[in-house]
Order: sequence, then C-alpha cells, then structure tokens
Amino acid sequence: MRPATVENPAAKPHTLSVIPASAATEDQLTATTTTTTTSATTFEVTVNGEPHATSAATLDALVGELDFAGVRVATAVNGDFVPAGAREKTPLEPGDKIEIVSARQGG
Amino acid sequence: MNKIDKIPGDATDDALTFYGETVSSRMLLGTALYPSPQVMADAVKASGCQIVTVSLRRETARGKIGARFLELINGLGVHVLPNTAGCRTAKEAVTTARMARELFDTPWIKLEVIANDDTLQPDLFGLVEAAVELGRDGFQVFPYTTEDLGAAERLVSAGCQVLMPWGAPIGTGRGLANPYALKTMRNYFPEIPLVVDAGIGAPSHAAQAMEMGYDAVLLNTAVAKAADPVRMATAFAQAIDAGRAAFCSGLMQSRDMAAPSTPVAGTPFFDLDGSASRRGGKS
Repeated sequence: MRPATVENPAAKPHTLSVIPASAATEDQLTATTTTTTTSATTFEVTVNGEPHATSAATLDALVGELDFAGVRVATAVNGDFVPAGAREKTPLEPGDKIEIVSARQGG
Repeated sequence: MNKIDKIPGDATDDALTFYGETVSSRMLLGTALYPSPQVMADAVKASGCQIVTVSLRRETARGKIGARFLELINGLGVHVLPNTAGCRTAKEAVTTARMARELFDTPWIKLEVIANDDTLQPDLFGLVEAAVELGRDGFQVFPYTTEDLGAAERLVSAGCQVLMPWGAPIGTGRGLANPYALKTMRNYFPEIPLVVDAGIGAPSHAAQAMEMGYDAVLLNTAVAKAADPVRMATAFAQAIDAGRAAFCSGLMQSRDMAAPSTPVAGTPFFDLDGSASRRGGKS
C-alpha cells in the first residue's frame, strides 16, 4: 500500500527532480534538486507500458486526464490493485507504473 | 451429484453447481478469437452455455472497446467467468483478479498462472500461491491446472471448490492428451466438480471427457476457429449432452477378447465337434 497520502503531511514528502520547462539558468542547473516556480509540475510515469508525462497529483486526476472519467476501467499502480474509490487518495510519483484496463474477450 | 459410483437417475437431479450457483449446461465457452463479436454472441446462444469466460486488457480508446464488449456480454444473460490470462506470477494474477472483480462485479475468477510461453502450462507453484491469497480475499477460484494431484490437494485446501485440469495445451486442439491421468483425478476427487479446460479440438474430445465422468468442459478455440463457429457450438453442446447421458447410463465394460452379441444357441449349421460342416468336409 502507498506510504504517503495527500492528506498525510507527516509522511515523507517526495522530492521532484525536474528541469523547469523554461530556459534554465546556470544556478538552477547546478542545484541537485530543483523546485519549480510554475504551478503545474510535469513528471514521467508509465501508463499501460508507455511513457507518459503528467501533472496529475493523484491516480484519479490521471484517469480524468486520459479521458477515462466515468468509464468502467480498473487500475493498478506498481503492481497493486487500486479500487476505483481509492483513486482520489492515491498520489502519483515519478516513475510510477500505472495499468488501466477494461473488459475484453478471453478464453 | 459428482460421485462416479452413483450415477444420476434422471435429468432433474443432474444439476451442476459451482459455488452455490446451479447451471443447466455443462458447456463453458470462451469469448476470444471469433471472426466478429456478432459471431461470438451467436455461438454462445447456439451452445446454450450459461457460463462464458472473459478477460481484461489495457484500455486505449477512452474506454469504448471495453464498454462495447460489456454491453454485448451483458445482453447474453450468462454468468461471466473472468480469467487471469497472461499472468506469469502469483502477484500479477492476484492484482488482475482484483481488477476483474471490480470490472465484472463477480467473485468468480478463472485463475491462470502460466509457466512457459510454448506450452502455456500452468505454473503450479504460482497457481497455488495465488489461490491461497485469493481464497483469503473472498474470491471463488476456478483454477486452471494440470492433472497433478499434489497441486490439486493444495488448491482444494486453499478453498477451491472446483478444479479445471487441462486436456492438452491451450489452443492445440489435441483433445485429451493424458486420459489415464484425468481418470485418476476423477477417481481421486469424486465429490468436487471437475471441468476439463483447454486443448479441446473436436466434439468427440468433449464427449470423451464427459463419458469419463467429468462435470463439464470449457473450450474456446475449437468453436471460435471452426469454419462455422455457430454450428460447431451446437455440435459441441450435443456432444457434451451425449457424453453426459452416456456416463449417466452406465457404460459397458470393455474387454480384450470378443464376446458374441448374437446368442450361440440355435445357430444353424452348428456342429458341436468342431465345425466339420463349415469346412465342407464329410462328417
């Protein structure tokens, strides 16, 4: 299960190492961690095996971003099932592997 | 009843029950590989089956593919049995099962954990591990397994109330590759519903399984890849009915030496001293 939730600030916050989209100054590039001043931070995750850049803070936001809101899909993050009701409370981190699946034929 | 020494008396007490759900058809049909969704739906209807297997896959087209399939399946009015096809570890299978339970709204799961790409054979270790975890999580597991009795006992201990041993590797159409082992398994678990699942190619294979006392047959490729899937679905349904009726009727004992079916007494030209009249010689 996920160690940190959006509502649990006591948990260790994840650190984003992001090169800002705007042209970086020498100072910014030499810093080991960078915090951006822009409001939307994009990071890389993998969705259904493909790299995907997102600024979604939660799994629910990502599902919405991908136009699956209101669609009958099931989700897993890093190999663990995430029930639909828990997507809002599931934060995303860079490098997360997300699976979004739906009903299909099978033998 | 599933005891092989108690042959059901008539059709009304010959019900098949999985986890408390009673069905009237002993054919389970897969939904994959058909030329079109309509042919699949027609084959399901023609077969009279009441349980179809389904799966789940990565969604790409904003949910439209999944939505269309669900609509089609829901219109058939049958039980769905989601599978964990493609899973190679217990963890993958467990997570897939949980996603399937939410998607299809059923605790039933056809549990597949596959060891090898060439044979698609069950990975018995992963299968048992996944069955234990899913059993604890309230699933009603239909394990796709081999004829291995040790694995079967562990699956039953894990809560499985049905076993589904293979006939032959998935999609090979070879029929019952090891009927001796399947007979042994039937004798070893007289009370549990047993379903032959995988490798069926022809209705005669399905009939053979039913004649052995198996409770049902699950097949997909043999119908979907037939030249006329809808007609083949009917053929399979008839074969499964015939096999079951044969089992219930008590098959004759086979023997090595001939035993005449026509009585000997009263045979014309019959000579007790050894057929001199047949040789045309003088007696």
